[in-house]
Amino acid sequence: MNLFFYENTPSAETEQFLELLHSRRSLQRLRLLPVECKDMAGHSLAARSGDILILFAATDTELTDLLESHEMFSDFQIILILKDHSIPNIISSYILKPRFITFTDSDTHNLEQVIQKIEKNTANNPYFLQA
Amino acid sequence: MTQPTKAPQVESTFPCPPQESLARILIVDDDKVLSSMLSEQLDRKGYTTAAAHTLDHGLTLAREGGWDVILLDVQLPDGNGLEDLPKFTKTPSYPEVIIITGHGAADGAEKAVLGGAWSYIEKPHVIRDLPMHLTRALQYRKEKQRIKAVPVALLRGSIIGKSKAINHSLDQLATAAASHSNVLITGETGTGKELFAQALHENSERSHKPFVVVDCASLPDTLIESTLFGHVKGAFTGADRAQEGLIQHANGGTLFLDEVGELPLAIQKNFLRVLQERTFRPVGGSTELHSDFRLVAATNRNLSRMVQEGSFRCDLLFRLQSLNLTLPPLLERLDDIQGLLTHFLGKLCQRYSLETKGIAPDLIDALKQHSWPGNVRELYQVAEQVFAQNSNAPTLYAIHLPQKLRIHLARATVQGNQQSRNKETAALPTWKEFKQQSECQYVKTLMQLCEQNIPGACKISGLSRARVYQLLEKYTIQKCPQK
Repeated sequence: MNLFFYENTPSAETEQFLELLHSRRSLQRLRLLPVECKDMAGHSLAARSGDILILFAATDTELTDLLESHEMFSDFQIILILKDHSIPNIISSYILKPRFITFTDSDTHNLEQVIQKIEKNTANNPYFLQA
Repeated sequence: MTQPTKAPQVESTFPCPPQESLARILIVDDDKVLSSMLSEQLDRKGYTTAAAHTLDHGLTLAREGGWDVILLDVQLPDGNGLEDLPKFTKTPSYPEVIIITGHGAADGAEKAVLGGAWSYIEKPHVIRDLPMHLTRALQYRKEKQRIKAVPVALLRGSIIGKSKAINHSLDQLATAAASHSNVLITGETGTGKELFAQALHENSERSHKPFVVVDCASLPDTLIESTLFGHVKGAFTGADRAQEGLIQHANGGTLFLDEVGELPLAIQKNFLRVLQERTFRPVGGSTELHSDFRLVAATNRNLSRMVQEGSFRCDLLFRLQSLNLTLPPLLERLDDIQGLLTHFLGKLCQRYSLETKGIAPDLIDALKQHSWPGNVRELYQVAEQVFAQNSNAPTLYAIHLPQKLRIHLARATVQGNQQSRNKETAALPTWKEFKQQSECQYVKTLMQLCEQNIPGACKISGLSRARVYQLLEKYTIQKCPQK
């Protein structure tokens, strides 16, 4: 299964966070999807339903953009990373049906554990066709 | 005719009617003492009552409508209440009818049930039993009226198909959406349990509030408790700020516990308490918090077996399955394959801005040959592969299917043909057996035709007398003595 990372607006903060994720051994294969590539062009034919997609929103605007495109992400297993801990933001993000929500200031070990568990479950599912 | 009842004065135990709509109760009984006593007690509790002492008057009042419950006596001066029970149940407000009689008999009780009565009470126990019957009848009626208010047009979301099996599941979904009960969705992997859970939420009164997914299979044991219940600052190492849990976030909405069978036993115990009281305590916290959520759980595991094995709590299972929705495997709805494939390919074409693709009949035929152990999810993944590998093809054929699947189908077809040939071989007798069976049948028919007459049999068959006797003996066919 593939592991993608997507954010709407490139920023130094995103880059720094992605670097942090890449420093974790099990997340080194994480692939960054190009900005604004809501149709996942370029990676389109590699992306499959059931793949893990990490969505990153550093601001309210970025989160709003993601929420507006929620149908585009409906086939993937979503993990959402937010900067803001505000409850209304978190609650509004349930429309994405995230498997896990975490924050930029949280321990990335938790994120790593969740990804490993999802991958393990998928590997145990004999009917998941590997791309 | 009923003898007047000497009813004792008892402390009223009648339930208080719901404030929003005071129930209207009609008493049809020729026992004026009992009627007046029941009216008085029910009026005191806020119900609106009226009494009739004959069947005819009772029916007239009932037809005027507006009654929620009718208390109907059996022996009335102008007829039998049980005989006219259907007339009462079919009056404009379709009331619930509770039969009250001084003549308890099994036949009468059976007739009452068959006639559509809510329940059957004997007069000596009316004061004791009526409150309970009335409460239940009114609760049932309230629920029934709510279900009737469910919009006929169900929001299906992405649930595709019109097979009998999926329509049955959609009917169950509509009923569940109208209720407040917990729902357990079961079905094999990939049958669409999450889609149904979401559709259930979208069709419920809570649709404007969050639909919160808890993927019990994805959360490590170390995270599941704080994710569900939240935690206070300093509750554990790394908890440098307080965090609300998913139970809190589902307040007013729906909490969807996906793969509930994966919930660790320790969490099951805590969660049971949440279900019973709708209150919980965040990890490390001392304050009880309240959350009004509707629970929908899903699993592909056999929870009853897990209860027997001790890995799932019996009391939690009991709480989860107030309503049960079982989804059919794709193998039981093969007629939906075409609709599903059209939907999936349409979605993919739209996503990648491509023109809609045609689907050749041989592709559908081939897909119908597969057993689909991974169900609709497997079909979607096959559609994705076909699409990805043939994105330029205007029409998709069976040859475009993934090679692995084509080999699997080819093998299954060959095996199927072989089995069918084996079956035919096993059914075909040897030449000798076939010849004997035919010969025996011929002789039997011959003897019937010529009414056991040997010369007649010889004439019809062209056989000699000796040969006919030989055949009769060979197949031990009885012949009548010749006249």
